[in-house]
Amino acid sequence: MTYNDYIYFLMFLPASLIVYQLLNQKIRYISLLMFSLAFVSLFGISSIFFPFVIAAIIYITALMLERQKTHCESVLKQTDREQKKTIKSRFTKKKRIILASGVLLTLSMLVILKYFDFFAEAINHIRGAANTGEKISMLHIIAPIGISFYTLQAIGYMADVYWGKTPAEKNYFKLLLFLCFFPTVMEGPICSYTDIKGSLFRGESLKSDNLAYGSIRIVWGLFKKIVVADRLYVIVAALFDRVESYSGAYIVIAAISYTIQLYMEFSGCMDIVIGSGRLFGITLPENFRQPFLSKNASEFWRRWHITLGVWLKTYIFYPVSMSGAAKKWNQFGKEKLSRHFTMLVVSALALFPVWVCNGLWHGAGWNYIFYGMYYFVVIMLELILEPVGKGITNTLKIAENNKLISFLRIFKTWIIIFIGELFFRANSLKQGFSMFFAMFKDFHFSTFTNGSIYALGLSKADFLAAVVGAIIVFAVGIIRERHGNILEIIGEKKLYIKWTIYIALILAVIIFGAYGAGYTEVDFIYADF
Amino acid sequence: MQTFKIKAIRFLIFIGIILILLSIGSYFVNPLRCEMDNVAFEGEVYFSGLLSEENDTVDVVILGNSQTFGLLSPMHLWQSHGTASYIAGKPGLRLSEEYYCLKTILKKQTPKLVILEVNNIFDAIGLLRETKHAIANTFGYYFPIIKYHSIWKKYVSEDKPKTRHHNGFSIRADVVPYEGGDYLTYTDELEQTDAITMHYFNKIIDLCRQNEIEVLLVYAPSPSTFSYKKHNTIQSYADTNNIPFVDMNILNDEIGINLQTDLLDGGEHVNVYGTLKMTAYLDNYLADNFSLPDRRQDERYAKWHERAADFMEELQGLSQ
Repeated sequence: MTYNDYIYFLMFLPASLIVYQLLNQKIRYISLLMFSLAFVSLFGISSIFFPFVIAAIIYITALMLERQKTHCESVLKQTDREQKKTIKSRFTKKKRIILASGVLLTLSMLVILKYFDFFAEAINHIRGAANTGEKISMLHIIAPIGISFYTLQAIGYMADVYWGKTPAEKNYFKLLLFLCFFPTVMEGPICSYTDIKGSLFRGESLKSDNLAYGSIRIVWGLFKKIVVADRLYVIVAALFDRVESYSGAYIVIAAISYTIQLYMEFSGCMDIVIGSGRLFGITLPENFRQPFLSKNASEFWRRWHITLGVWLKTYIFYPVSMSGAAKKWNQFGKEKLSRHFTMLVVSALALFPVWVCNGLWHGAGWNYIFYGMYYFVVIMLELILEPVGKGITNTLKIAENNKLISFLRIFKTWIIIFIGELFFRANSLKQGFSMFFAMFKDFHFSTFTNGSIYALGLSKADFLAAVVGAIIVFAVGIIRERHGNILEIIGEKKLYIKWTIYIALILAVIIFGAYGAGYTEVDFIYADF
Repeated sequence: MQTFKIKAIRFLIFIGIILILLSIGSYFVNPLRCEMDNVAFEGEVYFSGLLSEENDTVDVVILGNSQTFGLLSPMHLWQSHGTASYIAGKPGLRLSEEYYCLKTILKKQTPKLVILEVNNIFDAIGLLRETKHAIANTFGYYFPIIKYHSIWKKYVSEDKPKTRHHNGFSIRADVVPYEGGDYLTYTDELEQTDAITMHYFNKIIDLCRQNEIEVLLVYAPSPSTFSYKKHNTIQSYADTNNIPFVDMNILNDEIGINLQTDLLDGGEHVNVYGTLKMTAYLDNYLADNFSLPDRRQDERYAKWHERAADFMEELQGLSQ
């Protein structure tokens, strides 16, 4: 069962809402936990084993961290000033060891389940080339649903307790719910325990405003997924599965179609997820904010898969850039080097692990690692060239908000995104490169206009529906950028306006959705990550 | 409490408006009223073809999955005994959809006999997915706009070439021999069945009984999917419910299906040569066991003679 299944939104969600509302406020989180475990177990009963284990690891780690903190505080109270520093550092070391153990244990499960075969294959390849050692056997394990998402949440929680951002949770089952809450377990958003705990465990009674907003947000997500994304899937599958037959403009079509498909699908899924949370009065973080209006790659990643970006920034970028080595370098740079160069080196030092992790998190494949490195290089180039760009605009006296320049910058970002997604979707890094170079062979603009696109498996009518649907979504995005959350705005309109829009949206999904006979049911892409 | 009442009433009105709009849409895309050939997906043209027939003219309806396409040749039945039969099967047809197909057919036709090809009883794909199909098929029946929501495409797309068929039978002459081992290994065991599937199978049987329609269960020859366990399950069901059952797999010697020449795809479906042998058997079986009317002299069936002539011409073209 996935979020676009009518079993989910016509049966599972209503059933969970009824049970939730019937229970006493204090124990409503238990009903959410039960439904979450049931949801996860639908992907195989063994899938619920891992959240249980990871919840146990973070539960114990956090309690140990808190005990050290309490112990440290009580010892410090009885210690004179001179010894305080030594005692503090002793406890910090202990806490670090506890945190590192918890993180390693949690990560080891993800590494074994998701990356073991990838690394084993790489080692076997090296050994094969050097003709040394025995081959490592592959495990061929299918990673349990959501493990990439809840592992990050688990690590974030332990780090937050370590930093004192949040107290350790004393109720194991609340932590378990935090990890496997059914709307977020498949595709995120990656939630921070500190941010979500309030609404997740509050047991707020169902409210008509929340039900109305949540329901329409779900329908909006379905619109993106089944009207646009599932249609574009046909073109994407046709082009990427028979790469050797295509070149030139077809590769451009492949990159653009996949980028739009991925956006519509992932952001559509987030709409369903956030809408589902809202039904229970639970506020989940947004994951997208009009990414295609970004003027550079850094901004794109602040608008695309926001919660992954925030996680990497909080738990990798900041710790590295605030580390002792980085501080020393800053001090050295201030005295001996230019400010820009000093900043570039620190950025490179902190961004490199961020982008390696970003690439690897998406999957165990060289194309994903390349994808991470691609953005590392692009963002570093943007940082290096920033003063040059500013110099040119200052010399030519071009205003910062000049519309033409803004459009050109957005267009440049699109090209960066399309190329990135081409490698991301490619079945291998080799295929990614061969597609990239094939783009420059036999390029004919007429491919876009002469109807060749209809030979890729999508009829003219379906193509038209996908294009019109995408235009509507992008138009809504522009309104949202200028005026804020459009669904909230509609919610405040007069009843007849509100209902007309809601009904039109529901009917659009029913009539123009790519479901039923003649269409392929397409699984969510990010559920595989 | 007052606010709650107002909100609940508003919610019900909102749902009511949607249901009314869906009902209006459904009125216009009801397959009983509209020609669906250009909209229905490839495999459903046989079902929509049957719905295009004149009211109360079809006496034998054949339902099931893709196995039905080669089960018998309706035009041969017509020529030999004047039996008005029609195949309304669909590839991958699930029992929940089959039930609603039959309910729809019964709004236009009053068949004397329904032949159910039973292969799809064993096609269940898990409780959850069967439930999902059952929900979709229920909604699709009560609101055809949901099932035929793609009808708008006919105003944008070019007309599809119509699938050529003869009362649901398409002449498929490819030959791919069966190369597996012996598939008729006897056992007393029974095959497991799915609860949702059997629920709808029972509903189909009940629906036929309520409408005084006789039922015949047929298991089409399918060496790659047949097993004695499946045969036993159907036989047991047929015995319990007093329904005649013809298993063409175990009657192979009698019917004369040649596994080297009469199969379309190496073991799952028969080709036209196999169908002709099965038709010969079933034609006699129906004549011996059911009192089906001979419609050849009925004026309402004038077109059927033309169809039969067309079919025979196409068949002759094949042998040449």
